[in-house]
Amino acid sequence: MTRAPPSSVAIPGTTIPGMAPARPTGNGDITGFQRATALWQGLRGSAPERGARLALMAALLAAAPAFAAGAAPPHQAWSFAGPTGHYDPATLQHGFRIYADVCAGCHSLNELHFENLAGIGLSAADIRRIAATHTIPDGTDAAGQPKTRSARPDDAIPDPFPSPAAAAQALGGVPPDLSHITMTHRGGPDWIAAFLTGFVPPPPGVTVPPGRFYNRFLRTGVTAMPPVVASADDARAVTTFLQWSADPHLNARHRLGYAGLAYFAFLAALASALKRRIWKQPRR
Amino acid sequence: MTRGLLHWIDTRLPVVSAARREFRDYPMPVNLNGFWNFGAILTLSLLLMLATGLTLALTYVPNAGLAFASIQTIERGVPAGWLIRLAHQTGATLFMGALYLHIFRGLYYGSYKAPRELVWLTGMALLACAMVTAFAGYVLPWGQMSHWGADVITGAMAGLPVVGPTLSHLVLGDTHLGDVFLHRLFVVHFATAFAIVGIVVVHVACVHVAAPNDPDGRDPRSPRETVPFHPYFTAKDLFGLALAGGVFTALAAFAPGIVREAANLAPANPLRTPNDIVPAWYFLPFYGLLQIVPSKTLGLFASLAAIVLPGLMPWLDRSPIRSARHRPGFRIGMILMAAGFVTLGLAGAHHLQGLWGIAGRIAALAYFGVFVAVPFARRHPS
Repeated sequence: MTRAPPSSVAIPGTTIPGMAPARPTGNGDITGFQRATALWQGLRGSAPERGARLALMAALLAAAPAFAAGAAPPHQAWSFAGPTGHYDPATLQHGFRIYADVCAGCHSLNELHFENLAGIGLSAADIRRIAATHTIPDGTDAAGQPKTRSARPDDAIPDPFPSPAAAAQALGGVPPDLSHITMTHRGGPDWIAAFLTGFVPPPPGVTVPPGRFYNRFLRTGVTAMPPVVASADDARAVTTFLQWSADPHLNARHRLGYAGLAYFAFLAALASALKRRIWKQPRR
Repeated sequence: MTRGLLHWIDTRLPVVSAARREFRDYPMPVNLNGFWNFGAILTLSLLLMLATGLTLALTYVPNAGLAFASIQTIERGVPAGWLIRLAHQTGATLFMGALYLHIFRGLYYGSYKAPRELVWLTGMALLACAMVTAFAGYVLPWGQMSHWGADVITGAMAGLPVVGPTLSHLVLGDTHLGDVFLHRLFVVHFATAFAIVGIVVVHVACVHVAAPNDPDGRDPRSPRETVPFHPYFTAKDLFGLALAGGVFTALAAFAPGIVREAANLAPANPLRTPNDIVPAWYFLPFYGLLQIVPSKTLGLFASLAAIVLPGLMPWLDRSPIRSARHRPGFRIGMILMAAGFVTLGLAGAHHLQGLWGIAGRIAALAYFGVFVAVPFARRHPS
């Protein structure tokens, strides 16, 4: 089993001095596992160290009930919900623009290639143009020096940082990949949309460290992500785009589903008529 | 032309006449009900699984570092790859669902009784193989649920007395769940899938030698009580298959949450335990048992017993009457057993929280109780 080596990587809002930071969870919250790891690590080391750590641990654990009080995201009506669910290309493209302008500065979208953007209704020319604005590594030249080139439609959308460590250095934490975030984060699209517009002044008594922001939909309350999405409308559009990223074949799946049900209903009706006719025949 | 060719083959290897004898003229009891459709549904599901599975294997890479990305290539890059994978995932649900109903049919109507013990044993071997195949298949995408589901199972396996450590070493091939394990499970997934095909051939041969059971559990007394397989049962199976196709389409298109796990869309991370580890729905009753029994090893034994006990039915049940239609007490037992199995699954899904803890324990008692009570059932009802 490999363990993450101690580094300067810290989870937004959970930096505990003198402790090996736990691994980022990808959703900005402390998990029970991390809390248990932190407790275990707090119990090791020399006596003064242990005392300091235990004091910090106690503070962290005492604050836990307040952390757990992250507001439940309000339920929203989504175009992609239910058996008639579908994506609207205009919303997807609106969402993609916000992703490209804002989210892509810090977050990766590892599983998508530029050509996949045909799924939100972009033309081949648009996709070529968007890909060409990105520069990606292209092996090494004869002298062994790294080369770069502009991206093509069949390239994966490049990460904003050369490595997770570089992202942590720049941002104080590794922003989660967004490819499947609406399906892997608890609360799903409702939570993502609520979080994007959930930045409020901290309640009295809560101090937010510099470079951190208070968001009422986080269990910890604090995140390294600044408020970047301007309106509820933009939040809904980018959430719809991210839902498309996680489940890109919804439109085709539902279309095929209705066609398939009609086909099998017709086949069942024919087979039932055939069966009845055959069983009426005088038997051998 | 075709006739001449078929005749030429048949005089050298009589497969054509055998096919006509076994699948066209074969005498079937006239009174079979809808429960007898599941054999055909299972055969078609199996063919679908082989066709989609072989196609997926063209792109899938059994490597801990590349497996997740190769699944994403199938989902996003390969034309219609997502559809083939969705059909494979839905096919697993359809196969396991049809298999459970097929087995219940066999228990309820006493299809396991002499002279059909081998039909029954090959069927139970098929269930065991299907479960291993399904588990291995669930691990292959190497998502969070793949990794942690495998962690639960291999952990329980390592806890087995005597053979545990050796078995664990054989399956893991390493100190942790990694590359070697994933590659081994890929091979297991293939090997058991084709073993299923072989067992099905023997299973069908056993059915055809012993003749099919019927809902009354008494063999047809005269040719007047039978009809040829074709066209009577080919037509009936076609109707059943059309309905199964409808269920398959509805699941795949409108309830993909049942056939696939959203949490598995996060790549496997050995350092982060998910909050909630739940297996595929068809393993839930066994997952419930693992949670109810306080010891890991005993839990595994209970899960094994839950499959082995129905396999022993030909020897546990000594009544000469086959069908539950004519055994009121046995009928209640069978309904209790089925209800217990389903309730165990629901309790497992709810992690035995609240009333599910009590319901699950009662369900486990009901399920095992039926198999304990069966040998004491009256042998000759009045």
